[in-house]
Amino acid sequence: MIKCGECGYENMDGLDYCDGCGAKITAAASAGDGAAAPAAEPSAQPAAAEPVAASEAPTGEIKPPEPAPEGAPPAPEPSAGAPPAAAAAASVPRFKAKFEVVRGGRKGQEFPIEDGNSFIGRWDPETGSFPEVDLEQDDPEAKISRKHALVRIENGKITVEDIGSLNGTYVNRQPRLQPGTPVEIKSGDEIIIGKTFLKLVVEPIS
Amino acid sequence: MAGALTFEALASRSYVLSSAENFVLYVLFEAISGARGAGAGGRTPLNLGVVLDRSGSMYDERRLEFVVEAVKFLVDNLAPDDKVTIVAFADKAQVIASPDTIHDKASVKRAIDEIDLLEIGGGTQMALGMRAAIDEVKKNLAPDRLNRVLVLTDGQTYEEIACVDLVNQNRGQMSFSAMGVGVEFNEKLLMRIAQDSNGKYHFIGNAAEIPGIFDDELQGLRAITARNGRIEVTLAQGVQIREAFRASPDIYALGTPLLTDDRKVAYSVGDLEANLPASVLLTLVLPPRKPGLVRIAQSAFHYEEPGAGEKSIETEVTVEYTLDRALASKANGRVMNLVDQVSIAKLQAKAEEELKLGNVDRATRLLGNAIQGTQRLGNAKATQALSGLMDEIKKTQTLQGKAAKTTLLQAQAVVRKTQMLDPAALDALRDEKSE
Repeated sequence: MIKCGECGYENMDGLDYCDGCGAKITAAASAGDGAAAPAAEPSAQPAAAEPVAASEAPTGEIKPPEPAPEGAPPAPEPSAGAPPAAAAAASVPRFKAKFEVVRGGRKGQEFPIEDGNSFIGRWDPETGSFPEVDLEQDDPEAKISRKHALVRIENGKITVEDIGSLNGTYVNRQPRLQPGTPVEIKSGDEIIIGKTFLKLVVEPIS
Repeated sequence: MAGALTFEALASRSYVLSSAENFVLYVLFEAISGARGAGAGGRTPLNLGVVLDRSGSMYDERRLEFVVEAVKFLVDNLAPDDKVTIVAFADKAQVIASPDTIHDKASVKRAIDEIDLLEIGGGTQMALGMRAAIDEVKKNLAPDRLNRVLVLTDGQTYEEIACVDLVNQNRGQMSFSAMGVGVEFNEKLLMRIAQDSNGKYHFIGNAAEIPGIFDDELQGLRAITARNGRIEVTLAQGVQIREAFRASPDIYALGTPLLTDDRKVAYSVGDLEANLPASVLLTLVLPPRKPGLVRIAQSAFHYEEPGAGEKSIETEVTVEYTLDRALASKANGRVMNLVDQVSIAKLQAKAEEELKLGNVDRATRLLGNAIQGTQRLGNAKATQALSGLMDEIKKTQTLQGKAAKTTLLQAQAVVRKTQMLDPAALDALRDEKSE
């Protein structure tokens, strides 16, 4: 993510103009927070770290990604594609978080959640905005609003907030969240968005 | 290499950072058709329909006089094998000249001189005029003719949907260029007519420009050296399209396609004038990966070369994922130049939307950012147009009134016209620059 120097909107890496205010995103702004941390823990990591369906996609490749050094450091959780080492960011997070689809959608699909704001919703072709947790493909009936909920990681706390969705946001099958009021969530909590059930998984960073 | 056509797919970066997040990469798909070879025969004959508004308002500002002048110019510049139909419309449509009579120049000029005497009412039934012209163009369709309908209007037509339908039904066979005179016409409709059919949109602020625009259209048609261009892109798994824009010769949104299982999208770019790039800019979202070279898309350009049949050129887009931040910060100047131009057009459109919602502050802020962009690009014309628009907004807050609307239409037209770089600047940008 690159924070816009003008309005503070968090933009996807590589974007040239801020989605929020249209200011040109300068290289300085992007280098600022990431310079210290080499992205993606280098080659020693097990290959399970390919997070986005890359493994089903050998068609696109000229060279396959370097093979996992089998027998190298045993992965703590060999089966679950561990989310990519939460990269960059000067404020090193002490944990990494992700949502996992457990019901009503692509079961097992994972969405890493970074520090700061992440939106849950569906891709909006009109505005071109992409929520970080894009449930477009999990929600054929469009029960999920394009901008449905906001997840925030701040000061070691994770909160979820309904941002005026049509069908509501539910935590641990409790009454519908009050729109605009963030609620803290912890590892293992279940969030229901439309007909999709998400589980929050938080792992400490070793 | 006269007549050669080149097709390139250029990514904004050849090296991308191997990090943990999805990220954006811009890819430009650009076809340029060469000039006609010396021995490749004469020009391609035209099959043209000209649709002229003769509603009451066309008597204002001597509009009709300039239309008459433009038509006379057209008639004087036809080749013997060109087929042209001229239709006037108001409440009714009437054919003034047909392909059978068009080459009798004296009588066509007499007929157009009397356009104000036609008993067709004073309203604006553009669809009727379009239909009459389309019918004539259809009679003369031939693979070796350039088929186009020119529509000129200065008002809001009664049946906008019928106009759009006509374009959609016929765009496979002909393109539509739309000319809007004054400030009363619906620019969204005219742009759509042109964009949907790969024709051209012209904003005519001053009626005296009408003959010049006819000249532009005629020269453009004469310069076409490749027909029915189509860019096909097949994306690798995991790669998504965030936005798609036509990037030259005009800038406009192409809508975001839903990727089907074959992960293929196709964009028709119409006929290509010699040496005028036809391009599509895709904003892609790429998944994180380990370092290594990856093909992210395959692409093909299909077109027809007059006299030589269908052809296609294939290419592919690869990027190298790397951990080297310095490498990954190098950007392709030519692609970024078009990204800038597209972004400026978007900002202008967004500002317009915000203004409609009454958010004057947000609108001026967006415009301010757009102006910074045009200044960076050294596009004096666009800077001037946008600054004028900014002044009007500050003055009127709403852009109501004729002067304000003219400024808006002018700014829209300028920022949507791709600023072509001169060859020297292009060469300088061809080398990758570090940001």
